[in-house]
Amino acid sequence: MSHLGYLIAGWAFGIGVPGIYAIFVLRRGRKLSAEVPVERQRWISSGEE
Amino acid sequence: MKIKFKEVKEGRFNATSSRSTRFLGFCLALGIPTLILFAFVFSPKDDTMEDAVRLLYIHVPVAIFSYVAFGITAIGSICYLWKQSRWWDTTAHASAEIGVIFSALTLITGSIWGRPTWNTWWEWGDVRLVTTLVMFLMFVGYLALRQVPAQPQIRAKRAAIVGIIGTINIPIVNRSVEWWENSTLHQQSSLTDGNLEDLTLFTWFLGTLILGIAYLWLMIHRFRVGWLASEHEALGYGAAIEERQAEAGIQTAIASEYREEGEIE
Amino acid sequence: MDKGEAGIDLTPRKNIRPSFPRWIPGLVLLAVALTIVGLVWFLATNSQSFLEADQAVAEREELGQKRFQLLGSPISSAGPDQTFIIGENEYTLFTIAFDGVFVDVVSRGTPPDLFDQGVPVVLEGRWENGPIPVTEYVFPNGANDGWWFAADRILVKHDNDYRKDRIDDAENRGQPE
Repeated sequence: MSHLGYLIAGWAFGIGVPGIYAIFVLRRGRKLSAEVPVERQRWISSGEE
Repeated sequence: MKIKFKEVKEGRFNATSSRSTRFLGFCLALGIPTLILFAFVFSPKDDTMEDAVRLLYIHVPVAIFSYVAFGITAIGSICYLWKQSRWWDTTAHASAEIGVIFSALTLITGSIWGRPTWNTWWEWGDVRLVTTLVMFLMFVGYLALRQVPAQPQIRAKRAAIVGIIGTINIPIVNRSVEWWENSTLHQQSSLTDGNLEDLTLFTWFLGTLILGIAYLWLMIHRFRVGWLASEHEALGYGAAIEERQAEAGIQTAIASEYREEGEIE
Repeated sequence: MDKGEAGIDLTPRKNIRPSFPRWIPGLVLLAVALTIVGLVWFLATNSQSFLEADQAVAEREELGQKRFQLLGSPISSAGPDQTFIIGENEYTLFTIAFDGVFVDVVSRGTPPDLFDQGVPVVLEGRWENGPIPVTEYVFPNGANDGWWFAADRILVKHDNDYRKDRIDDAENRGQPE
């Protein structure tokens, strides 16, 4: 396969950067979620109903 | 259907997840390896560009979704100025952050693709390259402005103005290859000219679909993080007022308002 | 102590947050404004505009020794019989065309991977008139009119066609088939 180094670099950035960003977003969400009352998190039900 | 708090506590769901993000995540887990397989194995190499053409399937979709992301920021910004709703401000902010990631990737993957095809990593006089860089920098400025401490409403209003101004550049970036054809090495659109066919076209379509799902997945999670951040900030204001009240030993109209909204107990 | 109407202590607390200069938002907005002005200036006065070969030939006298970027398509790929080493430099000799007008080129350095017949290139350099570094050389199907373009950089302007049966670019550029 020609230009293999460029292909690997391009695809590594293309998949790696959003992947790292996704981990960052999920971790930040987990941290904030622990500090905000569950009733203020509209996508989560408190589970009693 | 909402996920239950118990499911988050037990670690079965992430704090910003829901059944929809689970489904989108599942699609991505299947879609990304499929895309790589089509991009590297099934799709043909180009007669001129040879295997370097395989960068098309990542570069073009990230570029498209950087436009989409900044477009959503503009819509969110306009709607915020109109409705003054935190929902629209959070949407605009979330989409801008993802747009900055995607436009950075557009520049990086484009530069990597440019070296074997154009024989250069970067050309400072090239209209497509420079206008894309300006678009990226404008929204980096947008995100920087959002970091400046201010009252939430003032911050959102400032950001909305910059978000709208920044979007004016998008049609210039997109049409630059047509308007200044002899001032850029960048090719014109292959899709609108019907110059993609068979597996090349299909793999491009698959790449765009996967990037679209990735944008949506990131957008939902990032929106919820933004929502949690504003709730957290509001709790901070409420707590500060409560602290002052305790010191003064009185209740005020402001504190009652926060109580009614449930931001303090 | 500063007391508000409701009797709360309104004296600002010190250093609740790290101090953030109040002029920062103004600075960011100024940076955005300057970026817009810079962009408009760049688009209006952009000096990097490729001269098509026919236009460059027509403006040869005015261009003189000025360095510019020339656009055209090679009429043939670069073979070993077109490459010469003189002193420490490697030269590649070829002809480009645009709308039926031919320009002979003496390029210093090795052409890029994608350099091929019919694939448009942007050459950086200037006009020269007189003998070329490789004396006695005749450009096959070239202009051979005494004028030649001395290039030291070759960029490839790849087209947007990825089809198998793409139209031969040479046809579009008015070159010999």
